[in-house]
Amino acid sequence: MTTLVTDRARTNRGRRATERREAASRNRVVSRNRSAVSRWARDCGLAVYSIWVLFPLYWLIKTSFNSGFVPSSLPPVWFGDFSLSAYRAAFASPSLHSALAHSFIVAIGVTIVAGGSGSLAGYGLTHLRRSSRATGNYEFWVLSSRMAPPIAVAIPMFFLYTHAHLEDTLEGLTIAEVTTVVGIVTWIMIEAFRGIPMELTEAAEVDGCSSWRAFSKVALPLARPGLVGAATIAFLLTWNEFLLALILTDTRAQTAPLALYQYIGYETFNLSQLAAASCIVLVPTVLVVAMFQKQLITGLTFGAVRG
Amino acid sequence: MQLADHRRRARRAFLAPLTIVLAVVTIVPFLYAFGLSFTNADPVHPGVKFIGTGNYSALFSDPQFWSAVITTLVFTAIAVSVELGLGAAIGIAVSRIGRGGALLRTLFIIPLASAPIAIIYDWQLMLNPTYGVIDYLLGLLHLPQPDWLGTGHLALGSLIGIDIWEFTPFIIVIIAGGVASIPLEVYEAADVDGASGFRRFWYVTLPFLRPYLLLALLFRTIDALKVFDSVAVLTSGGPGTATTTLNYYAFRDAITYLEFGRGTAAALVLLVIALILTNILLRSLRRSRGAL
Repeated sequence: MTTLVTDRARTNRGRRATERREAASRNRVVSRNRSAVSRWARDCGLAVYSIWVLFPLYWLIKTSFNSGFVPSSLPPVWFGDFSLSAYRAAFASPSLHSALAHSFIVAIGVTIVAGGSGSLAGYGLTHLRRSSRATGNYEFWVLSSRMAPPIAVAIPMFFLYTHAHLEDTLEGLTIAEVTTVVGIVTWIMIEAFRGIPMELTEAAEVDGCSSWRAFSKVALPLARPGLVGAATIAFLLTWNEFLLALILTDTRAQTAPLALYQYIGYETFNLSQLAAASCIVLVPTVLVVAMFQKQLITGLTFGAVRG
Repeated sequence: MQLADHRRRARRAFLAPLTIVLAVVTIVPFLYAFGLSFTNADPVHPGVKFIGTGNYSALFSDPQFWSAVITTLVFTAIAVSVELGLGAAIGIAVSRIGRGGALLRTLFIIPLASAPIAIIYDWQLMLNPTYGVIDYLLGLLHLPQPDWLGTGHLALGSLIGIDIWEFTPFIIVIIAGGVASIPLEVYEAADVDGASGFRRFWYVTLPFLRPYLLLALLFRTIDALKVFDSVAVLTSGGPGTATTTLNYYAFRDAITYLEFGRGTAAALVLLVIALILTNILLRSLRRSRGAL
């Protein structure tokens, strides 16, 4: 067991080193013949863009650590005023606690529902079917769920939920939020399974595997990077979704963005507390995306090349 | 033969969960909304009456509706094209620098991962005309200090700017993935042929990136057409109707004025616009995938 683990660690290290070498040689080939001027222009462009991206983030974080009336003082206090009072106040609010918990539950629920049904369908559409035309039509139907304007989904659900007593519940919100992610998740899974050779799953079935085993033991492990990327997107989009949650929930199922929205409505006078609450709400998704960045890129770029 | 039969049954089983999910989240609400858009339904008065195409003719004769359609299209066209151009440039540049490229890419992804509401609030802080840092900095440079969210075109421009800040990273991510997939031999061949920097870009890099650009364009267009959060929080569609997008118009009709029928009718018009644009984009994506 231990040898297996160390072996794997060694091959991983080896692979990373090879990847680094390949990237370096790629850069040499690609940037040969490049004048100093164009390199300088490129670096300047990247520097300007970095400032454009980072300044608003710096400003939000800085404000969240300010105390009292510092955030609105001019000229601004750029550095140095470091206080945790805004975070303490934001964390003391019980509505933010429960909103964060709701967001976690709904985001994970949606990820499981969309990831599960999307994986099954992705496999069914690519490995159990030959006609690419039918797959294409299904694909468009799947994608159209992403186009649906939230109002056209939320108003009917609002009526239906009142009858079914699902209004302002986590279950009801989970069902509604599936609308926003199932399209992109399935799209990624279709492309992920398309990249796995048919011969592999066919051979498994000829050897007597059931379709389920061919899927779960052969195809799914190979499609894992795509699945992780799709799950990352599902979590991200659900956590950040605002309009459906605004219409379909009140207090019992309030999500984190909504709690923040209420802050903006009622407590605009305390800028640093608002900034601190904002930082708290955006940390979970930033962490998830940073962790699974590679799979996210793989998942998103699948659709471009194959098909 | 038996295998084919068995596969058909298996396929049905594999597709069943998603088909049920899609039916629940798309077909049922869509049919309901479609029906609702021909009624005068509102949550206060119980008697729901069928009023034919009344909501649609009311919409089409409302100048605010047409202004919302145009605002939505202008917003989408400007925001998505800037994001695409900027994202492609930065995506290519960032994949060309060796050390530090990965770190930069991680930094650039942060806006995409952040909750839009938090980001919108952040911009509200910075754009504020009395204590905002942007006007303060402009003042230091003796430039005019406008009320960004309070004046017509500037308000729409600010919302477009925020969208660009948030979603250019999406293009960067896709393009960086695309650049990594270009086979090295192609560049070596271009070198042998003595292609210059610009010609290499135009004849080698760009054609390879075409499907990636189209994919990014497809996803961004779908989402930009639905812009809502920043409008609702920052401008409430104003000043006047300067930033009233179609999605916000539908929301206001349905939720603020409680005109459920009219609101869903407006939302369905938005859906039709999205379906047409997406269909065109998806078609050209399929073509360019096939060409590669």
